[in-house]
Formats: sequence, structure tokens, C-alpha cells
Amino acid sequence: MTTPKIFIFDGQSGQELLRDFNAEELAQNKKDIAEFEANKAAELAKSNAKKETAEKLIALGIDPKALGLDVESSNG
Amino acid sequence: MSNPTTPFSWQMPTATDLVTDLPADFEVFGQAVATSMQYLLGGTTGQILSKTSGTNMAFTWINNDQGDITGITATSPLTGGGTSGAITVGIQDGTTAQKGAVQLENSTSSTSTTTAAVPASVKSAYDLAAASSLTLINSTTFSGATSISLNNVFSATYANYLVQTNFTSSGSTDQMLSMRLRVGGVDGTGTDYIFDGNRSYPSAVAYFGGSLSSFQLHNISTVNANNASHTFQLFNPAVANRTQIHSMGHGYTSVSFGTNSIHMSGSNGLSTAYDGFTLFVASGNIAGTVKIYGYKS
Repeated sequence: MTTPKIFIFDGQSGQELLRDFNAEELAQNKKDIAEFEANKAAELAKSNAKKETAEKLIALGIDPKALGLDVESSNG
Repeated sequence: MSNPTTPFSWQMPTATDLVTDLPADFEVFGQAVATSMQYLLGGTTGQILSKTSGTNMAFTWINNDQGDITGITATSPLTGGGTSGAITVGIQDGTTAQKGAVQLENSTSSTSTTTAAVPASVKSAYDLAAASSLTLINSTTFSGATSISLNNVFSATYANYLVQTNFTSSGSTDQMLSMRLRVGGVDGTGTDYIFDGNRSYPSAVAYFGGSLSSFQLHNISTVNANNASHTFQLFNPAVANRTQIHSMGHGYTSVSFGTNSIHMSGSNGLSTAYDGFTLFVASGNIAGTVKIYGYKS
């Protein structure tokens, strides 16, 4: 697997640097990936739950929108 | 002896004058000639005679630098000219269509298209612009990085900042572009980024937020990769107080409904003075340009 790279710009010196993540940055990147995946899964779960609820109401012959339910947003 | 010559009236002997009077007569005659010609004496090489008055034979020697200009050719923006008689020369008025004489004006409100600003009015405009404008601090273009850090871009010169990004992704789809504040070359990675926001799709809204280890800015994807423009404002990041953020942008996610506009606001819960920030995705590479502007108060 390719090591992620970081681009660093310094506003005082104007210097630019592109280098591989160091150990500390790699460790943080692992946390970031985990957090990103968790957020993505949570959002997907919310979206699916909404859709399931809407489908059940429709199957019962009830228009979710007629009940004032927000069936399109991913929470609430 | 009374026999004047014409036209000088020098006295000449008459036909009946005695011969013995001739020497005296010629003395009178010669002196009269000498008196008349006295102004012809003197002068130097190249000089010419010039009348000094209306009196006959009133001359003086002068330098040969006299005379009239025999012609003036006027080219734009000059007007007039000629080769005879009384010649006049002018300057045409300057306009946006022709060169010419221009009236100066000390104004910062004039809308004239025929006058020119003086340095005083230019300085007034410059001072006003320098004191209150949005100033581009830096524009950085990069590629092939998962993370981009900008150090030493916040200072006491500006209180608030505007950041514009336009990124493309060459990594995994549905990446969230996130931001962390940093100081001394080190990111703040604690769960101090408190925010909430929403993504608006053509037919839906998704809410997000919380207390996380970074601000979530917007989705960036290999799909519709060019639809990833974003702007956020930071309030007092260089002051040891809670840094506020207002953020909006446009992106894409396949998890929900595709292209979306995103709005988020929040703050960093630490009372820390920051000098820069990091933009990153969890995986893959991003490329693009970051522009940082400072608001002068």
C-alpha cells in the first residue's frame, strides 16, 4: 500500500514540501479512516431506516408525507 | 552755399559760389555726409543693420539671429499650424478616443471619462482599499497528497479569514474533506471541533455534526470530481479564544443522493491561537488550489 503524503506550505518562508506521512501522522490517519467509515455507516443506516419506514407506511396505504413525516432527510 | 542734395539735403556749392569758398564748402558738405553715415560705422562680421527709431539714418549693428518662422506643421494632439501669416497652434482635448490635453482632477467620486486623477486622489483610493479590503494572503496549488497543511498563514495582521478551495480527488469515492487547526506545525487532533450542518440534495436533506476530531467541510469524490468547490470563513483563529467557522460548499456523495450543497458552522472548543490549518481526506489523494484571504477590519 502506498504511504499517504502530506503537502506542507509555510506562509512565512514560502517553502513547499511534499513528503510521506511520518509515524505520528500515519497513526492519526488510521483514526481518521475509522472515524470516516463510522460516520459514513451511520449516515447510510439513517438513510436506510428512513426508506424502510417510508416503505412500510406506503405498504399500509399511508402517505408518509401526508403525515408530515420527513422521509427524505437522513435523520430527524 | 545753398544747394541741398536729394534726398539727404547735404549742402553743395552753387554754380555762382566763389572758387575760394570751395574748401570751406566741401568741409561743410563732408561733415554733413559723415554725420549722416555715423551709424554705419562699427559692427562685426556677420552682423546686420537694424533701425533703432523712425529717424532717418538711425541704425545700429545687431546679430543676424532675427527673422520669422516660415512654417509650423502640427501633428496630433497639436492643432493649427501653417506656412504664412499669423500662425496659431493649439492642443486638442483628450478623450478615450484621442490623445490630447487632459484636465487633472482631485476626486475619488468622479465618473468622468475625460479627466485624469491626480496622485492625491489615487492615494486616497489606495489608502481606503488597503485599510478595508479583502487581501489575498496566499494561493497554493498542490497535487498527489492526502493531506495539505498550511503553516504561518494566520497572524495579528488580520482578524478573520476567508479560505477558498477547489479540489479534485483521485482516491476513494465519497471522501469527506476535513479540516484541523494547527499551531507550530502540529494539528489539533482532539475532539474539540464542535459543529453541525446539513447537506442539501435535490430531493433530500442530510444532517451531520457533533464533537469530532476535525471540522467536516464537504464531500469530495472521484465522481463529479470537479464539483468540489468550497469556502469557509474563520473568525479570530490567531487569537487565544474559540475559533469560529462558517462553511459552505458543493460536493458529491454516492451514499445518499449524489451532488449536494453543504453548509456547516461551529467552533473549536479550545482557547488556542492557531497559525495555520490542515485539509485532509481519510484516504486517496486530492489535488487543487487553496486560496487564503484576510479581512482587514
